[in-house]
Amino acid sequence: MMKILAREDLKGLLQMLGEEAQLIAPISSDGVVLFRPIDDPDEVTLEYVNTVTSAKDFLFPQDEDILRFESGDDGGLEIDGIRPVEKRVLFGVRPCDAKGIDLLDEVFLTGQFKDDHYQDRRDNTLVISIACQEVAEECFCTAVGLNPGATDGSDVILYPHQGGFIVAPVSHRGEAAVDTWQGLLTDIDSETAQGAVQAYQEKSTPLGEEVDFSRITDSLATMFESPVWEELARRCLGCGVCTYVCPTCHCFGLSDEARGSQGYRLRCWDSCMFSDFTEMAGGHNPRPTKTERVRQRFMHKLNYHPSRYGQLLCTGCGRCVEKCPVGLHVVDAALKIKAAQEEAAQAQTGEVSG
Amino acid sequence: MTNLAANPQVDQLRARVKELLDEEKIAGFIGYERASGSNLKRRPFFMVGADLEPLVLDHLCTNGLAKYLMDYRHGEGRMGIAARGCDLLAIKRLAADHRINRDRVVVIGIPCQGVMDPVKLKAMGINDVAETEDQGDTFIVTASDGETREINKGEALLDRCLDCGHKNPDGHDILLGEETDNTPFQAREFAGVSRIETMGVSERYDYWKRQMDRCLRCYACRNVCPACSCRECAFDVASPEWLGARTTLSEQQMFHFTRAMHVAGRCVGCHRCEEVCPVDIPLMELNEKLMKDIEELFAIEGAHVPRDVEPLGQFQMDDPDEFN
Amino acid sequence: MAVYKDTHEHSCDCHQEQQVLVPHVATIDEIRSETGSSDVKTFKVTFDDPTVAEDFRHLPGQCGMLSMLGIGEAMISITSSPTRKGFLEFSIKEMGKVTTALHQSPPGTKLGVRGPYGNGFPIEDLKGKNLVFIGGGIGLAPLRSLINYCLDNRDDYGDVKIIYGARSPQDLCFKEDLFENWPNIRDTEVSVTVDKGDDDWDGPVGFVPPYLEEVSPATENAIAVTCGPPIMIKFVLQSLDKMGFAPENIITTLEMKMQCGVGKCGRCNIGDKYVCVDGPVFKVSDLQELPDEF
Repeated sequence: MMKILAREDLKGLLQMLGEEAQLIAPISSDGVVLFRPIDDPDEVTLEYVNTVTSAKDFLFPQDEDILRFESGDDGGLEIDGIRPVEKRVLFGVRPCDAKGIDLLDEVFLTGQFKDDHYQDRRDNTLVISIACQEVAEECFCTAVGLNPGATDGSDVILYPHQGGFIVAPVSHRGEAAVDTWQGLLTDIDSETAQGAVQAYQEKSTPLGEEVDFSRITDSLATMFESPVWEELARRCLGCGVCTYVCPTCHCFGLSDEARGSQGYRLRCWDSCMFSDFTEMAGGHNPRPTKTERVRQRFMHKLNYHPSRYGQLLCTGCGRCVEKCPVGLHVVDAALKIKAAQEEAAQAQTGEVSG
Repeated sequence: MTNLAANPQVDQLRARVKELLDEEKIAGFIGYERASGSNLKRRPFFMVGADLEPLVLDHLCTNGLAKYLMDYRHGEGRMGIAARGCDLLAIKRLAADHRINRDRVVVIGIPCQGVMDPVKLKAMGINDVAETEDQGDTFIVTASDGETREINKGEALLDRCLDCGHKNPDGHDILLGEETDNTPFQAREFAGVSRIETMGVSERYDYWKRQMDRCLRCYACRNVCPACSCRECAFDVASPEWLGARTTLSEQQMFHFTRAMHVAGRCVGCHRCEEVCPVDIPLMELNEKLMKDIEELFAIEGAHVPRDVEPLGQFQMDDPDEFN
Repeated sequence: MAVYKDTHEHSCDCHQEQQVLVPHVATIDEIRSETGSSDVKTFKVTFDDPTVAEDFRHLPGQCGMLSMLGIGEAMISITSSPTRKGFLEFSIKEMGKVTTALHQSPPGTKLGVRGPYGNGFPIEDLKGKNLVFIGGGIGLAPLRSLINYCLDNRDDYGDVKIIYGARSPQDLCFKEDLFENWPNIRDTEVSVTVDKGDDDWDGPVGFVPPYLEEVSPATENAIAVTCGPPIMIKFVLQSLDKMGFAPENIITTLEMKMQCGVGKCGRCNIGDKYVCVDGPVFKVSDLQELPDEF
C-alpha cells in the first residue's frame, strides 16, 4: 500500500521536519528561486521548474571552514579540524539535482581517500526530492540516462498527484523518516500510485530528444587535438557561470585566512574555466588559453570522469544551457562533437573508397 | 515612428562582409549566429574560414561583441565586427582605454530601434523565434513552424533599450542601411536609482544584502564588461589577497562596490553585466547611481559616453577638496 | 546505482580519526642550504605527536603537503628514504607564497604536514635491476629518496649509476651524498656535471643529456629514473631513446598545481589521471598514453 500526502498537509510536514533539523527549501528572492535555510514554512515556494542554482551548495558549500589554527606566543601551533554536525533536511530537490548529489557522493566518498567534511554533511542531510510535473525548454535529463521521476541521490521522493504528493521512500534513512510522517499520510491504492510514478519516469524532455550522449565518451577518446575546442572557446567569457550553476561540478581550492596568530583554512569552489586555475608558482600554466580550458571542461565531464567512475558528469538539468551568456554549454558541445565525428567518419570512408 | 527602411537584413550584412573579405580589408568577422539548445537565443559568431552561412542578424541578437576584439588585437589583418550603438560605445571605451587599436577594426554599424529580451518573451510563452521584424510600435516574431505573433515593443524590449539615445551607430566605418530616428522611447531618468534613493538606510542595506546574497562570484559581469579590461584584475591577485574566497556579505560587497567604483565614469551603460548575471542582480542600479552622481557633480550630460577628457580622468588644482 | 544508499548509509561512528584535509603539527628541526644562493634548502621535519611519527610510512617518490598556516599549502616530494626513520626531509626551492614563507622560517618553526600522497616509485619492480638515475637541479630531491632506499637495501638492486647536473657548482644539491656518501658504496658510480664551471671546478662541464650519452650507461637489465626541469627531461628522454632504453623502462615524475592532494579537487589531472593519486611517478610508456597537456 502506498502513501499520499495531501497538499494542505504539506505545511504541517515542513513544520515537523523543521523541528528536528534545519529545513532547507526553495524560496523566491526577488523572483529568483533558490534553496535557502528557512524558519517559516510559508517562505517555501513550489512555483519552479527548477531552482536557479542547484542543491550542491548544502553538501559541498561554496565556502566552508575545514580547520582553525592558532599559533602560540611560545611558538606552538594548534590545528583543529572542524566537523559540521548540523542536521538538515533538503526539501524540493529535483531528480537531476539528486543525481548530482549521487555523483558527488561518488567523488567524495569513494576512492583511496574519503572526504570526511563532505561525509559529515551527507550523513546529516535528508534529501527529499519532488518529481517534475513540468519540464523546461533546457531540460535534457532523458538524454543522460535519467528521467523526471528518477531516484538516485534521494532519500525520499514525492510525486505530485492530484494536488497532493505520492510519498516514496528510497533509502533506509528515507524509510525511517517516512515512518514518522504516518500521521500526515493516507493510503492510495498501489496500482494508481504505480501508474502515476511510471508516468513521471516515462516523461520525455524536448531538448533530450535532440541530443545524443550515448557514444560521446568513446568519440572523445580520439578528439583531444580536434579543432572543435578552439571553435567553441572563441566565445567563452572565461567566467564560472557554467561550473557554479552545475549540480555536478566540484572543483575546489583551499584558502587560508589569518588575523594575527589565529585563522581558518577554507575550502571554496573554484572553476576550471578561470584562467589561473592550473597556474603554478613560477608562472607555468599547462592550460594557458581558453581553448585548453574549454577542452578540459568537456573532456572531464564526458570522457575523463566516465573513464574513472563509469558515469557522465552531467545530469541534464539544463542550467548551463539556460545561463551561459554565450550559449557554450554541454548540449552544444555534444552536438559539435557528434558533427565532428560524423565528418571524420565521412572523410575516412571517402578516403577508403575514393 | 521608426524609419522601417533602416532595418537591416542579414543578406545585406553578409554581402558587405563578403565584400570586405574579397577586398582583403578584413581578415575575420565577429557577428551573431543562432544558439543551440534554444530556439530563442543567439550567440556570438566568429567567422571560421570564409563561411558566413551561420551569420544572422535579428532582434534577438543581443550579446555584447566589442570585448572580443581584445582577443584579436595581435592578429594579422583587421577584424570586422557588427555593432549597434551600444556595442559602438563599448568599442570606443576599449579604444580610449588603449585595449584595442581602433584602426585595426572595421565596424559595420547597425541602426537600431531596440532588441528583444528572451526572458520577457519566455514569460509571454514564446520559446521559438526564427525570424523577427520591427514594425515600429511592435515586433513580429515568426516561429520555426511559420506561426507569427505580434508583440508590443514596450513589453518585449530589453531594459537597456528603453531609454537608449544611441540608435544610430555613431563612429561606424560602414553603415548598414540608413540612419534611423534617434528619439529615445523613454527619457533617461534612472528610475531604479531614484527608487532606491527614497529608501531609508536600513531598507537600502537589506535590499543590497538580498542581492549580494545571491551572488555566485562567477565573475561573468566583470568578464563581459567593456570597461573591465585590466591585464591582471585586482580580484585575481593571489598575494596580497585583496578579495577573499568567502561569499560572505563583506566579500560580496567588496567585489561589487569596488568594481562599480573601478568602472565609474567609464561605464558605457551597455547593461551586459546585468544581462549575463545568472541570479538577476540589478547591477546597473549601482552603475547608474554613479553615472547620475557624476552627471550632477561634474555638470555633464551622458556620463556613459566616452569622451576625450573623462570627468574622473583629470583633475584641476582648484577642484573642491572636502577631505582636508 | 546510488552511491550513498548502497555503500555508505550507516549510523555507526566509524569516521576516520584524522580528517583528510587537516594536517598534523610538525616542527622544523634543521635547515640545510643546498645551493650557494640558498634558493634550495632541505628542511628536516618531525611530527610533534609521536604516534603520528610512528605511524607515518611512505614510499620513495611520495610527497607531503606542507602547510604554513595562514598562508597556504605546497606539495613537496619527500627526499628522505623511508629506511631512515624518525624524521622527514623536504628539499624546497623558493618559488611562491608558501615556499617563500618556509624559506623565511627558522628551525623550531611549526608547520602542518599531511600525507603521504602519490603513488611512489615501483620499488618491487626495480628489484634485481641495474638502476640509472638522471637528475637535474632540484630534480635530484625525489630521486634521492629512491637512491637511498636502494642503497640501504643494496643487495636487492643491481649496479647503480647516478648522473647529475646543475647550472653551476653553486647550484649542486646534496653535495655530501654526491661526493662523499654515494661513491663509497659498492657498485655505485656517481657522475656530476655542471652547465658552467667556476674557478674551483675541475669536473666535467656540459648539459646533462649529452653528458648522459658520454657516460653511456648500459641498457642491459636497466631501468632509467629521471627528474629535473622539463627542458632537461625532454632531451634526456631523447637521449635515452637513442641509447636504446625502451619507454617502459624509463620512469619520471610530473608536476602540476595541486590543492587537495587526494584526488578530489579536480585541478591536477592530465587526461583521466590525477597526478596526486595516480602519479607523480609515471613510466614513459604510460605518459605516451596521456594527452599532451603538461
